[in-house]
Parts: sequence; structure tokens; C-alpha cells
Amino acid sequence: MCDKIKNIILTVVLALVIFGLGAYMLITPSQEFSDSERRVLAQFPETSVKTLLNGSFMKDFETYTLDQFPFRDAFRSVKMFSSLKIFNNLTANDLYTLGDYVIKQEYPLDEKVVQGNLDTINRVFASSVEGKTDRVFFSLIPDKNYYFSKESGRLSFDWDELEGLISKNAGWSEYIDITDTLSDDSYYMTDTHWSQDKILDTADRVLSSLGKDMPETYTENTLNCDFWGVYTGQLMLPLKADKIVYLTNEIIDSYNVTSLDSMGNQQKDFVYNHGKLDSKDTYDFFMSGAVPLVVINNPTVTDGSHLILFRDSFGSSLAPLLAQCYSKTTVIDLRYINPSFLGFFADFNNADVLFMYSPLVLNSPSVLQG
Amino acid sequence: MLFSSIPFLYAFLPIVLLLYFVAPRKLKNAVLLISSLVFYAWGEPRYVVIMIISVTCGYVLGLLIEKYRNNKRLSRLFMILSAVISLGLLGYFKYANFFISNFAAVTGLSIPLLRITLPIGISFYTFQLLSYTIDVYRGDVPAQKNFITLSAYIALFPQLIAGPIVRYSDVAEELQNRTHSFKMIAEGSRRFLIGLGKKVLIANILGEFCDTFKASGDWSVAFFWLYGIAFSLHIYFDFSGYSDMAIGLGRIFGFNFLENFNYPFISKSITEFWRRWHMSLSYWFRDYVYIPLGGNRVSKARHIFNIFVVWFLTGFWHGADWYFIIWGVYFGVLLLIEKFFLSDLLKKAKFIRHIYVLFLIIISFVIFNASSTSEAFVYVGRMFGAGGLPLVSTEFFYYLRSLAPTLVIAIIGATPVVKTVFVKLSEREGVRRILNLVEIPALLLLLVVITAYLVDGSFNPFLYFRF
Repeated sequence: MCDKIKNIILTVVLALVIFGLGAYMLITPSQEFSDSERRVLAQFPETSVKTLLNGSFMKDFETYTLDQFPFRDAFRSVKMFSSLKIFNNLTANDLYTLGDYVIKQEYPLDEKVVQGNLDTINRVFASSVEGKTDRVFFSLIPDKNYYFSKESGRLSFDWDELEGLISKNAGWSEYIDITDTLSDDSYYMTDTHWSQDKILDTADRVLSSLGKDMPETYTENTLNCDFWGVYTGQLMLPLKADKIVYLTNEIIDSYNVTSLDSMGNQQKDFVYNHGKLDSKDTYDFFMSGAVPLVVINNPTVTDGSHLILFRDSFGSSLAPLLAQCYSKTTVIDLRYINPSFLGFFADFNNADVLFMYSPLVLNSPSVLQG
Repeated sequence: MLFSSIPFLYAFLPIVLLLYFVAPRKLKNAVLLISSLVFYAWGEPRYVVIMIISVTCGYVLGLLIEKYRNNKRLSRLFMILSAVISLGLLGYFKYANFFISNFAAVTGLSIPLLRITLPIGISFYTFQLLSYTIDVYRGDVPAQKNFITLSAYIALFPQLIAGPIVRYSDVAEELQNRTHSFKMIAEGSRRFLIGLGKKVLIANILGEFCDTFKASGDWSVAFFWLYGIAFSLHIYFDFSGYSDMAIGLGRIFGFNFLENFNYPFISKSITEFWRRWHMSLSYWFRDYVYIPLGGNRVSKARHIFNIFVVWFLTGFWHGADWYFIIWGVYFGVLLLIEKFFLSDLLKKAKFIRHIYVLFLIIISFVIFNASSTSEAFVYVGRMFGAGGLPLVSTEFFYYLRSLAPTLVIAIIGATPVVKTVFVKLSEREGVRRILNLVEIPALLLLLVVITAYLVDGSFNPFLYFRF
């Protein structure tokens, strides 16, 4: 090919790409939601003299073009592929893969943020728990990266520092160490969370620390649908789908469950909510996902025992197992309920109180209310 | 607006190219001017006015200098007035708070700082305007009669906000008469894409690491050196990438801007480094400060003074803080040491001289990227073990592993190796044909990967925008 023809072809091809993609972006109707990222996408910004002069139009327009760019997911795949496979970066957008697993490198620990969340928990303890029961427990849920980082040389939270902060700030509780009850295959391949069928040892460790004996017989049930966890849309590379396995037995089947909706109304609910299988996050199958407060009444235990579990999303699949040993289990998610209302919904007198959090929550700023 | 942004690449640029090439020849400068004002206003809506005032002053004073050319005193007065206005605006927006805070510190007075933000690119376009009026005063170029043409030169968006500092004399002819061809468009596009790749695929990744390093709590001596190396490469790929994009865009629009970088990291001395790094700024200071002060054709003491003035100003041009001045004077001292003591030694020490240059350059950029003077000293100290830091840390090993491929690509890319190999291979007819066939798909692939990084990424600042 002579240089003259090459120059013409190069000019035409590049012009077609930038004109084509530019026109496609500006002409085609905007999408409202990204399924892969599970978020609302930016729309064309408001155009006015004010937004033009203060620069907000320009800023919002850039966000709009990023969100509405043609073949956005395909481009994101190209980026992740080139970052992880060509440039060989150890992480891309903090994600990395090992075998069939996708893991997020959660790092570093922000001591101030953790301290802030522990201060919130301290306030909840002081206002709702203190003086009503002396059976208070605390447990940290290791994130997936805790296990995978050790074999892969990635960075991970300083667990000793984290446990030190708990010890310093929650001295009023008994600490339950569950790190040795889990391993890298306790978690879904494509999601943050642990798989319920892999946490029986964890539930047993917690219940034995609370002085309870966990039932031993379960039926493993597997949902028909594939489970594509939260990392699927973030990694944007081919992955194997997970399957959701959930455990049942006569005790769990007998549960009578109610939950509090966002308006404060009580409604009938389920520990395994098949109605949530069509939601954006299939993990919402467990305890209906983001719910401020759930009460599990267990008619097979009649001693009036009460467990109050302060939890994050990991607790959704653990709570049904713990609830087997109590007449009543109140599951509270401080991300969605103001602690000043707790007194209306939970009686802390002589209850077993368990704070169980993943560092993913403790290391996120202003995530807990109170 | 950033070159390395989706709005620029897929909205602004196609629209401007369409308007520019559709417009008749006599309207092309007007299209460039209007699009440049939109480009500037995109990031600084209010400060467009400042730029227009600067250009108008430069235009009027340029004409007055020429009109009264035979009246030395008057034309000199207009030239000085032009310099006072240009430097006055630069001084107000860039240096006022520096002087206020230092005055307050010395006197103990409590003086509130001015609430002003630095207009993007003011350091660059001020120097271009100064070079224009000084060149007209010297009689090197005739004053530009057409306001649109002069405004298009100053506001020309390819080089408006981060250089290279294009002299009016270098583009005066092209502003009036320039040609366009597929060859120039293809060459410009190629250069632009390579610059964009340098910025997005290398500089941004290293820049992200530098930010992470600063926020880290796991420092070690080795980690500081890794940071120093990464930042040196980051600033080179960031700034030279921008210059490549500017030169490439200029070529598409029919201009030939001078080179701004020439593989500075292969220099054999600090003196040579500054002949290869940000060349348009070095030449500016040489022609408009150093030589007018007498250059080296003066007494030894005066010569040393001249060098210090130039390097003090070079540092101060980069930022209104003491650590920028320290950075500039650091180079002044090194240049003097080389000039008076090391020049013979450096000629003999063939391998060591490269280590010597890289060592001093890395330290200089650690000072340059500090947030304060005290941080600059602390960082340099820690590179040599001050503060009881361990030799290595977990994060050092992690980032060394993670960045290794990028660092290797960057180090190779900072040398002429790739270019030399490419040129050598092109000498063989068969290989040249293959390279010709591969070039277009390769550039297209590069554009796709860059676009992918832009669509997915959020880390994208240009370092030289703050100057």
C-alpha cells in the first residue's frame, strides 16, 4: 500500500470512528439503568445560562457521555481485559481473578472510618443494650480477599489492627473469632458474599459461643436459576455462574417471619424469599435483601429466648441458621434504620445481642445510622 | 476540556473538524478562534473574559509598537506596558496569594487571602503574548493587523492550556497561509493518538499509583524510590503526551509546532536534560530573559547571577510556592556545578553519567510533586532512610509487581529504542510493507483501548494544567 492511499484510509477510518460513535452517542435515546453496574445512568444535563456559567453543565455532560457511550459494556470489557491480561496489573478497579473466582482487593483500612462506625455501634450499645443484658457478643466477618490475598500476594486489611480496634472500642462485648471456620471456597465465585451451605461451621462457632447447640440435619436446595454476583458486572469478563444453595429443615420451615418495610409497617416475610429472584440482586433471596428489621419467630423453641442480631448483608444467609436455637430472633440492619426507633421494635432485656459485621461495612464512611 | 476525555474526542473534535474543513479558507481562523473559545470556556466560563482582555491588549499594543517603531522611547513604552499588563494579570491570578501569605508570615500581620482561582493555561498564553509583543518590538515579526488571526494564535485550542509555548514568529506564516492534506491529517492523527495513548495508558496508571502512594501508611525507603521513579515517568508521559497531542492536532489543522521533548531521560548531563525537556519553555527563558541579561558574555559573577535569575523564574513559573523555587534553583546550582566542575568528568564517565542524571532528576521530581516545602524535604529525606523507615514494605512489593509491566513499557518508551527499531525495520522493503498494512489496524486498536480506559476510568487530570 503506498503512503498516499494509507494516509487517505487512515483519515477516513478514524473520521468514521469518531464521527460515528459521537453521532450515535448524541442521537440515540439515553438508557436509564445499567444492569451490569446495577445503577442509574446519567441523563442529558439541564441546559441553562446558570448551569453553563457555573460549569455544572460541562461537568454533568461529561458524566452523561461516559454513562451513555455506545457499546459502553463492551468498552468496559476491553479495559478490564487489557488491564488484567495485557498490562498484567494485579488488580483492575480493585478486582482480580483467581481460578473461577473474582475477588475485590479491599484495602487499605481507614482507621478513622472504622472508628466512626464503631462509635456509632457504641452509641447504639449505650442507648439500647447497656444495662438490659450482659450477654453481648461481637464478631468480624472476613471478606473474601482475606483468604485469597494470602495465596495471591494481593493487599488486604490488617486483621490484627481491625481486631485491635474492636477490642479497644467494644470492650463491653465478647469477641467471637470465626476466621478459621471459613476458607476461600466459602464464598460465591462472582459475589462478595458467602454461600450458605459453606457456613455451617461458622454458624456452629457462633451458636456455641452463645451457649447453644446447632441442629445438624439440613437439606441442601439449589435454585434453578444462575446467580451472577455483583462482581460480574464490575469485571465485565467471561465468568462461570454461581448457584444459590439454601438450607432447610423442619425448624427453618416452621419459621414465622415478619419484617419492617421502609415506611415502618410490619409485613409477612420469608427467610428465603422466592419473590426476590427476579430482582437486580439474586442474593436478595435471603431475608429479602435490604430490610431494616426482620423478626423470626421459631415455634419449635419455646423457652422465650431472644437473639438480637445487628448485621450487614452477610447476616442475611446466616440469620436463618442462628434463629434455629431461639424462640425469637430480631435481625437489625443499622444501614436502614435509625437506632432511636429500636426500642419500639426490639426488647433487649435478657436477650443475647450479637453485633456481626464485615470490614466492608466498617470501612465504609457514614454507612451506619445513629 | 481535556483532550483525553470522551466529550473532546467524540463531540467537540468531530464538530470542529467538520466546521473547519467545510469552512472556506478565509473563515478557517475564525472557526479555530470560536472553537478555541468554546474549548476554553468549557473548563473556565468566566475566565474567557481575562483571555480576551489579554489578547486585545496584546493586539492593540503590538500595533502601537509597530506604528511608533521609529520613536524608540514610545515603542519601548508600549512594549513595557504590554509586559506589565500580561505579567500583572499573571501576577494577580497566580502569585498574589503567595506574596500575601509570605508578607503576612514575615510581618506577623493577619491578612486574608484573595478568593481567586488560577485561570487554566494563563502561564502559557501570557508567555505567548509576551513573545509576540517583544518580537514585534525587536522587529523580528510585523504586527498582526487582523484581530481574529492574532486571537486564533493565542487561543488556538491544541496548545492553549498546556503548551508547547508556540512563538508567534514560528507560526506567523501558517496563520495566513497554510495547506492541508491527507498526509498532514494522517501524520497529525498518528501523533495525536500516540500522545493520547501515552497519557491514558501510561501516565494515568502511574499517576494513580502516585496518588495512592501519598495516601499510603505503609511507607519504606524502597517505596519512596518506586514513587520517585513512577512520578518521573508519569510527568514525562503526561506532559510529553499532551505535547504530542497538541503537535498532532496542530498538524491536522495545518500548523507545524516545534517539538517540546526529545527523550530527556537519555541525557548525559543535567544541562542536556534541559535541552530535551519542555524545550519551548527553556528556549523562551533563553531568548527573553537569559540573553537580554547578557547571557554568558559577561563577567563570571554576572553570568552566575543570570543563570540563577533564569532558574529562579523557571521554578516560580511552575508554581507559586517555595518548593517550586527550590526546585528551579536546585537545577540552577546543578547547571553551575556541571559548567564549572563536572563537564570534563561527565564526558569520561559514560555509564555513570546516566545514573547521575536519573538520580538527580528523580529527586527533583519528588520535590516538584510535593504539596508543601516541608513535605518536599521530608520526602527527599525519607528516600535516604530518614524517619527510621524500613527498607521495604508490603505495599512496595505489591506495587512493584503490579506496575512492573507498565514501568518497563514506560522506561522503554522514554528512550528512542522503539523509534530506532521502527526506522531500521522500515528500511527493508518487505518489512515496510507489513508495517504499512499493520499500522491502520494498530492505531484503530489503540483508539479502542484508549476509549475503553476513558469510558471506564475516572482518573484523568493533566499535571501541567495547574501552571
